[in-house]
Amino acid sequence: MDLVIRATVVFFFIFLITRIAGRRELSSLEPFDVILLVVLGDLVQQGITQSDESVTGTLIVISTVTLLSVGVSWISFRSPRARVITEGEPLVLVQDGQVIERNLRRERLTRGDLEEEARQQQNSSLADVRWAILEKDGSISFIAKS
Amino acid sequence: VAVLPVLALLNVFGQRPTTTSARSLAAGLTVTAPARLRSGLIFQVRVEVLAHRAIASPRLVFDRGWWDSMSENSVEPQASNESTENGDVVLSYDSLGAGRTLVVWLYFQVNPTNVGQRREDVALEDGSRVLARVHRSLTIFP
Repeated sequence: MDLVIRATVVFFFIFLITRIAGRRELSSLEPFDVILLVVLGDLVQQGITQSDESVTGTLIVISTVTLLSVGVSWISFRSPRARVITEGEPLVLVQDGQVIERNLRRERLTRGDLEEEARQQQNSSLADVRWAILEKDGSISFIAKS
Repeated sequence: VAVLPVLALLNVFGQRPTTTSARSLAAGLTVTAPARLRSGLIFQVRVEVLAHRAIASPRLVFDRGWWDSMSENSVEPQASNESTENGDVVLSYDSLGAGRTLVVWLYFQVNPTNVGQRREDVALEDGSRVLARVHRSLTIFP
């Protein structure tokens, strides 16, 4: 019983952490982030299974996390309001060449980050961009002025 | 996928403790321990003896199943004497007056390769005379 409860608590805590961390942080992992993820995985394992070394325990935890994941995705599918909480919304960063600083700050992005991303997508200047949108998966879409 | 977590919540795979008791005119014996466990788990066993009349040489006799492929972490209070009889483990304590209670805590960890079901009876004896016996079994999931 305790395994299911611990797995559930950790699942929702990680879910909360990923929402707080922000999309850009998670979509572009630096070497430090990768190491942090590995350490985090080890800490999570200790917290959930503790001294349990059984196959049964492993199956229970995997089933619980899978069930919760399916549950959250089902709720997101059924409820647009829940979808905003679980997945977030696309965020407009540039409109008609004008950078929306408030939204950049919200996602802890600098103008330099945005310009770099624009260059990588063959946009020479933000002034030439009609829309730049931070998508739910953390990528930035650029739509050029025609 | 949902079956396993539901069964786990219903304690099918352990480790919620269960209590088993036995009484006689001379004494009462209560054992609280998990009846289902998984490999690697650390667990507590509590044995409580209530003397209805004086017990000169209280002895707790544990089936070998308690120690077989288990790591013993500690036993408190420590017995005045430890011995074995036909593979069973005997913990002897000092005399117990009428109305007195003896509580013994044992801490174990299940060895990772330990799987299956075993008998885990506990008997309370005064010398060689059995005063009470509880019948238990333990199931260990792989």
